[in-house]
Amino acid sequence: MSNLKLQHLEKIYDNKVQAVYDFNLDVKDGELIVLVGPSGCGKSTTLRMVAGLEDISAGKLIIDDRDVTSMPPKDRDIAMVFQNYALYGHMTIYENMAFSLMLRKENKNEIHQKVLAAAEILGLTDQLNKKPNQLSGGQRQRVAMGRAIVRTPKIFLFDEPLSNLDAKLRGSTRREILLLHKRLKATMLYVTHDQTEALTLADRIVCMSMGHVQQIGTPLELYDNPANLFVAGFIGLPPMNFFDITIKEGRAVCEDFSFELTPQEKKALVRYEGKPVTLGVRPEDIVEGGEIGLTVFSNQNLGQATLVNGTMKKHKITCKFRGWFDYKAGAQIKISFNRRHFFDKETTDAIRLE
Amino acid sequence: MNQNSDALMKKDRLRYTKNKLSSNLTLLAIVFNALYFVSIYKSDVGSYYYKLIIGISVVYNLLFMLFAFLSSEGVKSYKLVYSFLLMVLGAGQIIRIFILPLRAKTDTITIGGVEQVVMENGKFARVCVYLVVSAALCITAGAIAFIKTRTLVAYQAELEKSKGSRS
Repeated sequence: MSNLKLQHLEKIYDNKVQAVYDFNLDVKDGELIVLVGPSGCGKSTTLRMVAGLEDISAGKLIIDDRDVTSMPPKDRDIAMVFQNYALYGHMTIYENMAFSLMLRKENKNEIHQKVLAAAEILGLTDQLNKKPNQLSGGQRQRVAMGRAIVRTPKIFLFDEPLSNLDAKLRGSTRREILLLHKRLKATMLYVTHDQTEALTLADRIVCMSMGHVQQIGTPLELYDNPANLFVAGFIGLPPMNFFDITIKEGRAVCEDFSFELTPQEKKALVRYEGKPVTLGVRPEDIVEGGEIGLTVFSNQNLGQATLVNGTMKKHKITCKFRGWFDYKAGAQIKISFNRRHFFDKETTDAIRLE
Repeated sequence: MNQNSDALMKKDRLRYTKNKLSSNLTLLAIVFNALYFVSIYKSDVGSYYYKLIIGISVVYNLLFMLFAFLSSEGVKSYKLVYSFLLMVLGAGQIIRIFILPLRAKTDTITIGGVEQVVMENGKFARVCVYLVVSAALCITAGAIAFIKTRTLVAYQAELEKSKGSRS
């Protein structure tokens, strides 16, 4: 397996639309990197540039210390798994998986061994004589992965492989991908717009928006210490609640509430005295009891937790309480914030608490 | 040891691959049969053939192509009966040499007061080659299909047996 370096990668289309800006990433051997972001943020374009399906407008792509920026896709030794599986309908699963090796004119017995080994890993041994239309979506996606595995490529690329699957199947296939990664110890680049996939699969996440990298870090880093408002709002489900506040004499003040800042917060926010700041609180960091009043307007019981949607004078917020709650619409409850994030209102960057 | 495992692998491969060789040989046999009947029916002494069993010949050609095509699909998925059918069709192609071509070669016809041989040696040789090649292809395809199918069946039985003894 291999390491991958993306250095100052940019993509500008012929119509002068820039899809990716100055993308830098150093992927270590055996690492699973997830590119996450909303539709149109440039994550698939980046992946396609790595695969060689899109030309690189500027920057360098290095695989195993070899510059492959202008190398054709077939010479890059990369395998890609697509969202729509891209299987040959007239071929059996065995033939689909063996096809790329047959094109390379590899020894038939070796091809056979590789296909059987991949089928064993993916639990497809009993399906090898079937055609793709006889398989479920999850099985088809496994075949697409099998086709990548048999090639033993340097790098695996996944372009939203679970998007066509239903929620339940998505969960099980996600676990399979994770197991596969652990088993193969392969370098993988995975694109998704689903943050749950990103958080559960990734060794590191690259969060993108409008062609720019917003933050690169472990799932915990992105969740716990988002670099800016975009990452804070994008990572986490339900999304973070935001409040426009002002710092006044060591207190955070807004129309709906005010609270005393901790000494650590005071120190970090000292230069924001009298200035507007954005306060971010994750729904799961809101607890029942405290001084902040909330009028409930709906409950969503998830079983292990309840999402409580409520309004303040100015803000609408979502709280996630552990356990089962049945608040009536209009009920008045008191809440407090366990953990708070602060963001510069002008730059949208996070204000780090030391 | 290595040879053994190679042979074993070859057998195992049969479980997942189609018998394309036999199938393709059969399709080629159909092509040679087509060359044969085009040569015969294109003859400028057609009236000679009308006296013979030309209708049956046409029907046989159609049936040959139909069964050969069915067999090409059958042997592809290792169905034993089609390997026998191919061998029968191959033998039929040899027999056909003695029905139309040989009779036409030895017979004469008078056209415009001139007596001439119905089928000249060159053409006779050509149609014979078409039929012989078609026959050879059918028989080879049938034989290969027979061997592969038997091998596969035996291997599958072996696998079943070992699975049974394990459980």
